[in-house]
Amino acid sequence: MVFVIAGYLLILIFQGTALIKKKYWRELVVFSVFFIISFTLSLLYTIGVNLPSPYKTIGYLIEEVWGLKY
Amino acid sequence: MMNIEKGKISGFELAFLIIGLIQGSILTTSYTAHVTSKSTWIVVSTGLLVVIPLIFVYVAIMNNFPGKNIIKIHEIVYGKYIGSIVSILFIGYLLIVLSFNIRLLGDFYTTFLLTDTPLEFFLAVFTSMCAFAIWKGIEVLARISHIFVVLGFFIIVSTSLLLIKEADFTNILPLFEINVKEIIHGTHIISAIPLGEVVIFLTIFNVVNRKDSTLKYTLGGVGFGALGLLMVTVRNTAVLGSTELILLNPSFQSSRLVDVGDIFTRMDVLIGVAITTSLFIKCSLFYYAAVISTSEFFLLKEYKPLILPLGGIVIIIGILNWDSSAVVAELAPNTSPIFVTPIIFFFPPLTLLISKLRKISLRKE
Repeated sequence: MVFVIAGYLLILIFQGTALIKKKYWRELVVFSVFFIISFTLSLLYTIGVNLPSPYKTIGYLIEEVWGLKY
Repeated sequence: MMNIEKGKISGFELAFLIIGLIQGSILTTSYTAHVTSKSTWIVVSTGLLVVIPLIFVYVAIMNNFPGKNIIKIHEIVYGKYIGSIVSILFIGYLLIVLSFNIRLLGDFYTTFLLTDTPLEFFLAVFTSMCAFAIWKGIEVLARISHIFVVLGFFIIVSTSLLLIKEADFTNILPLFEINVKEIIHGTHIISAIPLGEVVIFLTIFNVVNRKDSTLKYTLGGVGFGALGLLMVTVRNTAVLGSTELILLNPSFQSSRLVDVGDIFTRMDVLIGVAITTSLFIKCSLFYYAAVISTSEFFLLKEYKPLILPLGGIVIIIGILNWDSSAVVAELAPNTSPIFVTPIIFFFPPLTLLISKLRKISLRKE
């Protein structure tokens, strides 16, 4: 968990400050949204929360819900 | 709005990138082999025939909207709201396929090469490498592709020649022992997974410096890429026979059989290198396309701020994708081609049709 937090902190310092210096506010907002999603997912995975698999969910939707299968 | 990618690539570099993308799918040919057995070479050929008209469609879209990224084209053709939905589906496709492929590489390493190292480590290191490559831009990626594609072809050809002694070409006989359902299923897999992935070049065609040669180089790239796939599938069937169907990675397993005068033995490390370099090109292209498309979607001035956050998301999706090889062996041939069908086969022709019907074109006559 320490590595995950340290890694994301580095990204935040490196990328966030560069965007603030350039006054790219729109880029900063979009970066922040994706950063928060990415950090939250990584943290939840690291502490052992059971997250759903997008690939298996798509497979379930296609096969079981829509009934499409070879 | 200005183009967020400043670099330009030549038609020749475009062809190499396309070959690299298709070479990166060597691992996925085993999913087709599970369906079509010794007739996989037939569906590689029919898959190519299905993809050729699509390439004409993709290039026609880009010629109709010179200099525009597919995300912008969706907005022009479908309008703001429907265009946004189509673009979100396209970006979702890029992220899911990217996570699928980085997970394949991670699984390859943890299964065959470094079995005690955690999967998360490979995914993080490999994604960081791809992130560094796309940070440098499409021009750098295009230049690397020359080396990696030539290396990939060299390894495919050399291992095939060294395996001639082990090959039994009667394994391919009888030639057409395949039913119509298997042909359709196999063709769908080949045209949707290795060859149809050329659809991601809808985000890259606009940086090719000579638009008039795009079609020629795209067709050439797909042709050479398909030739590589054909060589690999024929070699695997000839060398492994029906055991190919129960193996996780036929290319890797067949190269373990190389034994020329007790000097050239266990050439599996060469296949390991080929899989790593070709997946690097493929994943970098998908990563680049995802980052460029997302940046274009949010009207950003540059794409670099999104590289690392999207990379983090992709690593987590990659880890979560499946918990055993049995899941992917079941889902990849049966549901993956259906999942990607709208993005590869449906939306591009529809986009072209609507733009022609509404007479929307940015091309200067």
